[in-house]
Amino acid sequence: MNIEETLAAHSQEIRRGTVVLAALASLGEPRYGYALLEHLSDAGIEVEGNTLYPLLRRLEKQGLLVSEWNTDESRPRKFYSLTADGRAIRTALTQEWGALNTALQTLTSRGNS
Amino acid sequence: MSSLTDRYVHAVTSQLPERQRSDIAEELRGTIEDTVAASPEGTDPAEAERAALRELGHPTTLADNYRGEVRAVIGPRLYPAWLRTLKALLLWVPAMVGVIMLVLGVIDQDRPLDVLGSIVSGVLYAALMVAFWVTVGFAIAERTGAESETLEILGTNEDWDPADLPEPQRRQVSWGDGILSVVLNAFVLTILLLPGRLGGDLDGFAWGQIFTDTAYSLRWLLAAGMVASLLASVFVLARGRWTWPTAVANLVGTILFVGPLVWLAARDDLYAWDTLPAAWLADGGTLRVNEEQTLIVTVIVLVVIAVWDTFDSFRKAAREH
Repeated sequence: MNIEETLAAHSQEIRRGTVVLAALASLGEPRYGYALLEHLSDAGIEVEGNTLYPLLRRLEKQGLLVSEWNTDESRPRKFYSLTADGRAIRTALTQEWGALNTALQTLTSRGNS
Repeated sequence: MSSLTDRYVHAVTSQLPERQRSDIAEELRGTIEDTVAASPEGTDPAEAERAALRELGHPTTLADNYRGEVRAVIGPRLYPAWLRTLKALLLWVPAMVGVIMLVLGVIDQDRPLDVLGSIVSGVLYAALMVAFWVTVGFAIAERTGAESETLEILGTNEDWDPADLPEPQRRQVSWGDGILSVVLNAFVLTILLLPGRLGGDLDGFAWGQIFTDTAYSLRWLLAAGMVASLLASVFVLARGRWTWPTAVANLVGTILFVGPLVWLAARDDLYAWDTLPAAWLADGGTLRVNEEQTLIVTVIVLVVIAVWDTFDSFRKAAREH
């Protein structure tokens, strides 16, 4: 494995854990799968559809999201939005992320000096 | 011909549980349409569809992500044990069956080529039985073992006591004993299912039959019992100890195996006295078989083995709790 592949594997590992928080943070208002993918992409979070769509199902199964079919538009779309549990988890994960971010910033700034 | 999208959606959902299929299919279809619709203006629709599908990735990968679990008959935890068991059994059981075929061939004074043929087919048959049943046993252990094992040893994840941690490498049943038990069960099963020779009708021999036709017709029942015992012994080998379900499975197997034999012996319908190949045992002379004593000894041996086996397995299962 060369250095580029190693880097790619490590950064994918870092990003993988952030997708759940990114999705929960974006679903305060209902969104369907593709719109969420676009929304995340616009925000700078690149996630593959084959990761995101199954993830939404898992979060729904865990009771963090609730889904509803909307058939008003040209094609039926499944809209996902946060439940009360989902909001609680989102808050907790946001705090966790903040703490991690602070800790890592401290560590990396020391490492660079 | 269906559209590429239809074919893709079908390829994904056909790998998923029935009740999820239509919902996921509809969502996927909508997502693909959205992706196609969002492609830059002037793009060929067919090309955009292909690109959207390629972006979603291989259907099996997507289906695996929806399912959220790895599909494996035997996972990494039990794989080394499975391999080890299989190697030991593939060495011993076919060899034992091969020796039996050789002895039978010599006794029957078959032509060397026929003997060789029956040895080869017996060995292949035994190898097939061993590979199949060991894999089935480990697959069951894989599906029932992983979670319950942690729970049984440590209680719930929340308040486990470090003092409850098992001694490293402490197996209730050693590898040697475990393998021996599996080898014996697999051997008996192979002999029971081996086409024809033991106890079956023998064309051209008035004296070769050891067991009665009734016993012969019941061998499927005996084989079913042996399968249960074999699976239990494989499970014990995989987990290193007896559990209640394994002990019960073993008991069911023992009853199915020993029950019919004892019943047959009690009715004096087990051994085919008239065609018993006693001639070669007595080297051509006349050997008198004490029928009553043989039956009594048979019953006692079977019952003692069955009772001891059952007692031992339940005692060990109880000790674990």
